[in-house]
Amino acid sequence: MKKQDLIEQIIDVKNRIPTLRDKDIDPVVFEQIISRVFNQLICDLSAKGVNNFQLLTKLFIGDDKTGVDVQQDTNTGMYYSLLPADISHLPDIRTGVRNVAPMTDNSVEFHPISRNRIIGRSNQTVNQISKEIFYTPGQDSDGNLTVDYIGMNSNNNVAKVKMYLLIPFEAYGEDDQVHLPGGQDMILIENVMKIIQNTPKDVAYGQSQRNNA
Amino acid sequence: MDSPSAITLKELIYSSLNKANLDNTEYDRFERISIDLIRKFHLHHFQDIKIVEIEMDVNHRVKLPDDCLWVKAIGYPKHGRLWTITRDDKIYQAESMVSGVLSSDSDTLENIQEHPKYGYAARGRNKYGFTINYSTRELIITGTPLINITIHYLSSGLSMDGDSFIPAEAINALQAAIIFDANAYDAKSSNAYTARLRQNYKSELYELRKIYTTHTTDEWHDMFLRTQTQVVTR
Repeated sequence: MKKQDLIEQIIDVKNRIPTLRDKDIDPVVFEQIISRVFNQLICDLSAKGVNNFQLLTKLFIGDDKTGVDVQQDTNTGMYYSLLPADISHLPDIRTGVRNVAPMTDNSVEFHPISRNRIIGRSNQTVNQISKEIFYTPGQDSDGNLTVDYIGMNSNNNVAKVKMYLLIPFEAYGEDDQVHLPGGQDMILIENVMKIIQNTPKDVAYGQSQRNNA
Repeated sequence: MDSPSAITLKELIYSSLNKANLDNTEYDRFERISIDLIRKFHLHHFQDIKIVEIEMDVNHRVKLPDDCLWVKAIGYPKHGRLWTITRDDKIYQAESMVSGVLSSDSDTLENIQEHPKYGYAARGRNKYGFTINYSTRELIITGTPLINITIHYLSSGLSMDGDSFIPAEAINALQAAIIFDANAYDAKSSNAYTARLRQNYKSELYELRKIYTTHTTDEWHDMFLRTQTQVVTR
């Protein structure tokens, strides 16, 4: 279902409920409410151990379709990529970066690792026994979202990668398809209605009614 | 194409993750457990003796291979036989710590001198001898000319260039051991589940040891005298 269709469907449900029918919700506020509930649903599922979000993840291969660039920080020597989109912050170690892989070469695999465990891999024999590359999402010193690569060096570096990102609801375009995880439709609608019920009128009223007041 | 008789470390980790119904978020942890267990299996259950020929440097030192757990025999081949060299820990190792860093003594040959006929020898003696310096992981040979030394050693099975291979007969036992270890140290794992995994690990280990060696007394005892495992279930 397209994002706009989903929003309209939920507005339609609201308008059929007698106690909510008269609340004229500002479309911006409405979308924000759905966004909060949607993101919370995904986080709750992740916390329960669900990690199958394939239909929600989106492939990013850079603007020129050749892959997301892998760069090297001149100060730290660390290899990293700037995240091409905002991500959902799930409580597992991948967060919203569900998968990273070389753009074309399948002989290398990237595994997620917690930032706390990176320190346990530096200067250890495990790095010689195994030549694996790990990734961990984070921020650079300018506050940009990045994916850092651990175990990547001048011998095994990869220039371009593809990423499967789980993006938050607000990052979807109006015509983007939104795939709700199975069985979550009713929970989404119920929770949106609960928030609308409790939203004060001065916040909930749309611009037209505020002007008339 | 026929399947190979050995699998890589990566394949072992992935197959263990699959058996445990996990994905590669646990790769780092499983990798470390696998490495420890491969080393343990080579030490206790395999007799994977490797034979390599290594060049001796001018100071009569021979670097031990990275995967060497312990040395079984040292010598050099002659007329189709290994002419072994006797261990002699009285050979002065001529190594010193300078500011906490191990460094070669500038006079490394002070106690090793050339034999008139056969090469270098400990002063006043001419028998072939060697000693092992474990801190520098090298052998010091005396009494031989500068020749290539053949070492028979127990390998850890772990290659330092990223290409470790696991023999086919050990795959199942290692998988069972890895999954057991991963759960045994996990506080969230239940006693009953861990006990089941331990039993599975033991059975796989019996199968493996059947191939390589005879069972220990404890293993015979377990097989014949124990009919059930009592575990805490709730």
